[in-house]
Amino acid sequence: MAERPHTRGVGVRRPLLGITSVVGLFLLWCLLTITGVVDPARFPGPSDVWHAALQLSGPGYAGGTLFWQIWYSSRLVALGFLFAATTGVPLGVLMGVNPRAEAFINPTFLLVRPIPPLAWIPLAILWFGLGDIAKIFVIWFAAFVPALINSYTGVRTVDPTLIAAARVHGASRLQILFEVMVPGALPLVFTGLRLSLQASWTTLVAAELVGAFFGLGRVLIIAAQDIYPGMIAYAMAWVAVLGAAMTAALAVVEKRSMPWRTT
Amino acid sequence: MAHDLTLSANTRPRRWSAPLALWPYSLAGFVALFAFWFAVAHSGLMPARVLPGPDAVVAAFFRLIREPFAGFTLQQHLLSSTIRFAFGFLIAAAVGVPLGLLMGRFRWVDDIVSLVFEALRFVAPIAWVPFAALWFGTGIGGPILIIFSGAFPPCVINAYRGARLVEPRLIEAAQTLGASQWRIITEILIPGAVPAIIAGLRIGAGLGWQSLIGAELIVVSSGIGYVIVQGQSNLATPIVMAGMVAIGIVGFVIDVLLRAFEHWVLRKRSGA
Amino acid sequence: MSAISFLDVVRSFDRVGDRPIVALDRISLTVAEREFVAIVGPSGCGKTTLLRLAAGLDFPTTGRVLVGEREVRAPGPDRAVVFQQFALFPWKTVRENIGFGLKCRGMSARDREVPVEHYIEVMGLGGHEDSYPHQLSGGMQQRVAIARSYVLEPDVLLMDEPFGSLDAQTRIEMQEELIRLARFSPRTVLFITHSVEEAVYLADRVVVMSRRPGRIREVVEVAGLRRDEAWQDRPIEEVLDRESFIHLRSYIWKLLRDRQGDHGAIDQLEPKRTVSSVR
Repeated sequence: MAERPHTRGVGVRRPLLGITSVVGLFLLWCLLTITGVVDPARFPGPSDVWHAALQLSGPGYAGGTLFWQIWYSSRLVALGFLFAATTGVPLGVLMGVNPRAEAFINPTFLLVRPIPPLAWIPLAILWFGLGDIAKIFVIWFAAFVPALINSYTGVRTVDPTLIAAARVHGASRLQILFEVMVPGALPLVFTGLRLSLQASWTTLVAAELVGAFFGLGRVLIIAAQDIYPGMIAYAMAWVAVLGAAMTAALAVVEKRSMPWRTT
Repeated sequence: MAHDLTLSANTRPRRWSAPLALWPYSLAGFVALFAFWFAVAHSGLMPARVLPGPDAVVAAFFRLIREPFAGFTLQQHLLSSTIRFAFGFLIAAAVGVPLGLLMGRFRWVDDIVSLVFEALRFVAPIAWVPFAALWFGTGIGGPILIIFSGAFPPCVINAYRGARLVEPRLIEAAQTLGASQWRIITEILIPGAVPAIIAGLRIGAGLGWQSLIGAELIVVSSGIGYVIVQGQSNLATPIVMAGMVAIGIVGFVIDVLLRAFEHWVLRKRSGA
Repeated sequence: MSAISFLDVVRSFDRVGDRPIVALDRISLTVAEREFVAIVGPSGCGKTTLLRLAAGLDFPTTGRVLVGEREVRAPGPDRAVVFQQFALFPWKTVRENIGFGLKCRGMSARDREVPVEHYIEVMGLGGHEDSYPHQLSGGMQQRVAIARSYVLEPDVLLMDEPFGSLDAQTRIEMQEELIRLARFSPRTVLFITHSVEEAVYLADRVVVMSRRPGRIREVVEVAGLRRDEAWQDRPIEEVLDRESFIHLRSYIWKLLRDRQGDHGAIDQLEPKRTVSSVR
């Protein structure tokens, strides 16, 4: 596409546009709330959010301070995610390399898969009550599926030529598995883990919204009941930030574990 | 046994289809699942409240069709849910796809929208529930907002990718042949991006449906999600499980329909 | 018909941190009306860039590019481009592809029929009008691409290694085709190729370019020879065999292989390779 030289400003212009739009939106937000165009009881202004921030960081809200709520939520996500990763990835790999295992497990999987993870929440509550175990179970379920599917696909899409080369070198089945198939599947495995992590986080917030003792989701629902829009917005912001942070952290792990990748 | 390994490795990745010779294993798996479930449920190991057998669930399913529960019959609840989903999804697609295409075609649109989009994207759709409740009560606006926030990002992102992946040569060819911007968008960009757009629609539909269920757990007074939450409050486990089955079926049907749509569009596109 | 003029054209690309890359260094060249000029040169010598400048898909850093006395500001149907990878619209039939430029011009479907049919016949695409590109062989696809450009009756035809992705036999067929077309409907042509043989066979003049930064090493006249020996009346195999042809071809080959040339002196002083210095 035509590019005109002499637009040296291009490199600067682009982030500038982005920042301008963010700043513009912020100003619009202030304007709307200060002039009272939007109902302050339903739509928070910047000062409301600030007030909520102070409260949550300081004396706390809905049972704890910001740190406590984040810690509580993150702990559950971490546990659920780890269970899912340690069960989903190996099972996916197994199904990928062993057609009999795949054929056996497939029907169960096909039947269960269309049911959204969030739909398991009421059942989990019936089984385990309102405590942590129910949450971890649902998170595990939500994270398990993408991990499994992507590990399976990852193993199946390993270049057959590489496997042939390994066999030519006399590698045993186990060696092929660990030295060729697993590393070859890693990129997709990580895609699966990324989806798992996002699913974990989303599911946790949902579970906490439905019924919990602590956590960011609980903060959200209590704030809704108290009609405290500033706190709602503040908690939502933290949900977004933590989600992004976890994804970024995983990306770092991904990069480190695959030094041979250029992308 | 090494033979096994090459067998599965040399085949192209097929999603979830076992060759004919393995169907006994599939059947075995299927049977094993239900047998296990049935056995555990009736063994007395767990109270019926916790794990009803498949027979109880099926019975509950049909009962829900005949008699109203939590205000309506199963069909009525499902209709309620489906309507909300349709609205939310269609709005997300109608706004998201053009936006994604524009962002892919014109860098400046990308620059302006990107930051804000990325920031909002990481808010889990379900986190909108409190605002949905605050702004819409139990009206249809609430679920639509939540479905929208779930379905919108994939529609945008995939349309964006689709537009970017259109071979620049094709756009240049159109330019050298005298095409206007509008014609480039409608006759080159959109057809070129169609596969990605549809993939985005499928993903968006899946996420939208999931978000709907989440929303219906909390901010509504009808719908299939409402059914299972009410079932839970009433400790009526068979109803909860029957509801889950219904949710699964509808989600599956939506995906099948979209797959068929994808197939049809791709065939029309390149006459293959 | 229009002439193409490159007036002291420089095209450089900024690289963050490094020195700028100079793709074209002070190119001055004129392609006369209805002249067929081929450009040959090693990879990276900027020949594609030169073509894109004429097409309006790129702009010079300094210097001017004129087509028909007017400065090039944007791409347009008066300077039709034939790309190496055909760039056919995969979701349009052969007929729709060829008629696309006419459609952009605002011609109705009825008005488009005649010219499109004409070129379908001229290019030997009869029977394939309603096929999709992926159903055609490489050679046929390139015919469609050429038809698509030709139907617009452009003043200038810009061809970027159009036969590069074809197999050897098809390539020869297409070269003959192009000669036939050029005689039947001559226009100003700028033709980029890697193949010296192709250049000598097709062109009136062959421009030999040097490695980056792209400069013109030499311009070789072919038209006179072709006329004197009446190449157009002979089959291609015979032309390729003629001593005069081989001589010309070898001469150009040597020019391309010879690293020394007008900057031979500089090479001798600085045997180490450095990032190209801008004069």
